[in-house]
Amino acid sequence: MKTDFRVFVDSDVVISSLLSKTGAAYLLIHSTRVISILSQYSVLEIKSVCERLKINIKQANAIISNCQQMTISPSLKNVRTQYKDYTLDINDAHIIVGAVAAKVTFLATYNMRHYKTEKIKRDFGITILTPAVFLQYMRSK
Amino acid sequence: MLNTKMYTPEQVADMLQLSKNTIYDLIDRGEIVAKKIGRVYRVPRSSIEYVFTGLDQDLLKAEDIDKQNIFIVVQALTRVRKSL
Repeated sequence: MKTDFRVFVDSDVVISSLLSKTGAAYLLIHSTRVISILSQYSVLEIKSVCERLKINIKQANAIISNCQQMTISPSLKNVRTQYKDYTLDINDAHIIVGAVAAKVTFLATYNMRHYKTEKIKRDFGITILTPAVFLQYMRSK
Repeated sequence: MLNTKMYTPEQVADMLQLSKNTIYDLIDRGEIVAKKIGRVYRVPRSSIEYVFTGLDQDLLKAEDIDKQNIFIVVQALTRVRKSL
């Protein structure tokens, strides 16, 4: 049995996995080698986006329940203040906090441009990758 | 019709910085899919997509599928994050 990879997944990856069963996000989320991690804020926004985009909430709940869920202690306001230097949009800061709190080394996202990837790698040792690049990395392991 | 770029094993060896023998070995083992034409091999671009994109061909396709929807996903997510 090969190693399991713990990956904090950005909400755009979870939502993408709900929109296509042949996309890289779906492959990542459903990989038996990957433990996908979400925070309570991720869950909240995933459900809200599903409502907006009219995505079946039952399917979303099924994916969410298969993910490892963790709780970020600070309030969203504090998170945004403390981690504002790691993102271009402070509203994305909770994803970085989640990845740090989960003690992962990988964060999967389609929102690469909004994160200061070099600074995040340097300060927290977290590598930010798209789902396909992460899957490619897994193939080498 | 003739859009599929093909490479010789020598060209592939050069691109991957491997020896010609290693490339023939990889072709023999099926790790690089090549077409034998007479006595020579030709390697289609799809077999070595990784060289150009950093991704295997199937993963590149899978990522492209997600990219078709990513604009609406990011747009909706940005709005939701603002309202949290």
